[in-house]
Amino acid sequence: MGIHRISKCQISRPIIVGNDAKPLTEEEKQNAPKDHTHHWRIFVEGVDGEDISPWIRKVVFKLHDTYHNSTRIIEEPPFEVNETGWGEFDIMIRVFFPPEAHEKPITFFHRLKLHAYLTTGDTVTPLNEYVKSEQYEEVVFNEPTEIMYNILTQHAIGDGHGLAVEPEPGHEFSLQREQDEVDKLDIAVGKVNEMIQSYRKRLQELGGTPEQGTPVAQ
Amino acid sequence: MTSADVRDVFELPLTDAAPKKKQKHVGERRPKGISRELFSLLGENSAPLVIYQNKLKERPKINQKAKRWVWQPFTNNARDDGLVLHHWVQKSETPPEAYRFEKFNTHAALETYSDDEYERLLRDDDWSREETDYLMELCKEYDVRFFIIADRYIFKGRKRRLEDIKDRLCKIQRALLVDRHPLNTMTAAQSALYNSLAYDKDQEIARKEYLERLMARTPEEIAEEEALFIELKRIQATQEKMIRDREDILRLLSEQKPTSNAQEYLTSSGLSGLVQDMAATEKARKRVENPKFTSGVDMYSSRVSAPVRNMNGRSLRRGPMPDDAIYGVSWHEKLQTGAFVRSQRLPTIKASLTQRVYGILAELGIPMRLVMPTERTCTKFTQLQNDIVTLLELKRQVDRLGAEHDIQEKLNHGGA
Repeated sequence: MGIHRISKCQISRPIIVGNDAKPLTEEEKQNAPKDHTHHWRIFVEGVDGEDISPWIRKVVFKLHDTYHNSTRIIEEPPFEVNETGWGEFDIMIRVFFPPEAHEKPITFFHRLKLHAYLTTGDTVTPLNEYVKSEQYEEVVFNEPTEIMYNILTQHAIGDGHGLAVEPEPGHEFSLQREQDEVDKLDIAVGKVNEMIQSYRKRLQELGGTPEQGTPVAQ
Repeated sequence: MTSADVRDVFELPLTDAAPKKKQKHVGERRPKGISRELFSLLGENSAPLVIYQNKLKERPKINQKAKRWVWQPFTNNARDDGLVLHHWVQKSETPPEAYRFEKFNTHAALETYSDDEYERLLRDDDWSREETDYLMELCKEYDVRFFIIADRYIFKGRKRRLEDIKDRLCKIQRALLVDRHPLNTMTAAQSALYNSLAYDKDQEIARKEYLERLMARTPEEIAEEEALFIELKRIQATQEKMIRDREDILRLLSEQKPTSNAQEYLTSSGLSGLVQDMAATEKARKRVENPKFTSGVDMYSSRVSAPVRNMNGRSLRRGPMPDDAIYGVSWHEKLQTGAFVRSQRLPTIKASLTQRVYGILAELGIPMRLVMPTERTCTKFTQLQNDIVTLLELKRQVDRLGAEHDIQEKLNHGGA
């Protein structure tokens, strides 16, 4: 139709999807609806304080049906919903891109976390404190349109210099963290490969070839 | 005259030989137990059913006594000759009321003018005083029924159109009304009357003409108009959607900003340069093993990927840049167009194996869900999953072979 896409180009942008929650004070409980125990905030935000509004047009949060106007449409940053409640439930989050991107919206599901527990051995004690449950995700654009390419290359990731190298309090997602995970995975892959080798050897001893499904009669 | 004689006369072929004997009808035998009369009523001999049809209407039930009617003479006060007619009336003690059709003898309210009023208000070039008076006469006589007036109207051999007559009369009445009761002193009824007397001659003529034409439509024209009307309704219904579609298309079309001037291609060098570029892209495309069929858009983009040069001659083709990393830009040979979440595109494992795979992941200390699903971690994670599946396969084979081997061993020992 004339939409020019940049072929072979892939743009991957990190975002954070999550919620935090804080128990209501006695005074706050007076003003809130009955039975509500926590104040919570569900959000979609950029890493390291990045303003994601240039490439995210709106975010739709679908809350539990018992909430008034359970479909909350947020068209301006901060893309979040602040509410009070007592229950943990799944929230469906739909992220819409600018029309010039010509992309379908993407969907996340996040389980709202309100309660903090301390698990020591077999005992689980509830704690009355601030909790945060967030997930690092990457939005990948394969062959973005020219306009989207321009938008994304005019706004860098994070604070303007890409993902942070080392973790900071409050922003735990960094290249360092990624490297830690890569290392862990490497170790795991190594172990699995060792086991594969040993099994292959055992298989040869038993006379079967790894590809064969049927045993060779002795 | 038997049938044989008839056949002889007509020389028809004979039927089969002997004339049939009269068939004896053998009915039922009466059983011994019941009487003859009773038997004649039962079974085969039952009496035919009689359907009772009442051909006469029932006499209507009237609870009252008959009323009295009287042949009553009466006069119609709407008449001026005192004619006495008679009619049937129910006898009652109350004295007879006025004849009930008297009240319909109404006359239209027609304002007349004095000479002075005529001179002041009603002068008209087209209507002489005499003609106007004649008109007023007719209106009074025919009760301002314009169709009759227009039909009977003839003044000095000249006939007038209904619309002209009505127009003149309305003007007269209106002028008189407003003169006698100036606008701001009119009552509600009067101002209503005033407004109703506003007659637009040209509009009326046009309207009647239009109605005539409407009547005179041929069936084809009527059918055509019907079809157009339905079409209009359909268009109105989908109008909103069409506006949105049109806006979308216009936006898409307008996105294509001209990246360069066509001037440069009008020179011979420019043209030859273009030809070379196109030949190069053709070759490049043929060399690629699988032309991208992932989406129709790709066909366009590969065609348009001929390097576009702007006025300065610098290539505007998008390619790797040194600062790509901070924007998350990377370049790959084969891509499937679209936007997605990386962690949602991790390959899934067969349902039969998931439990065991997760078990092994747990043993290795790797969580089921990555903390930071980046390109590197996802690739490694996928690799790990595949390796685990391979491992499980191998383990299965080894266990099977091992079990058989053990059984063989036992048999051998048992035999020895």
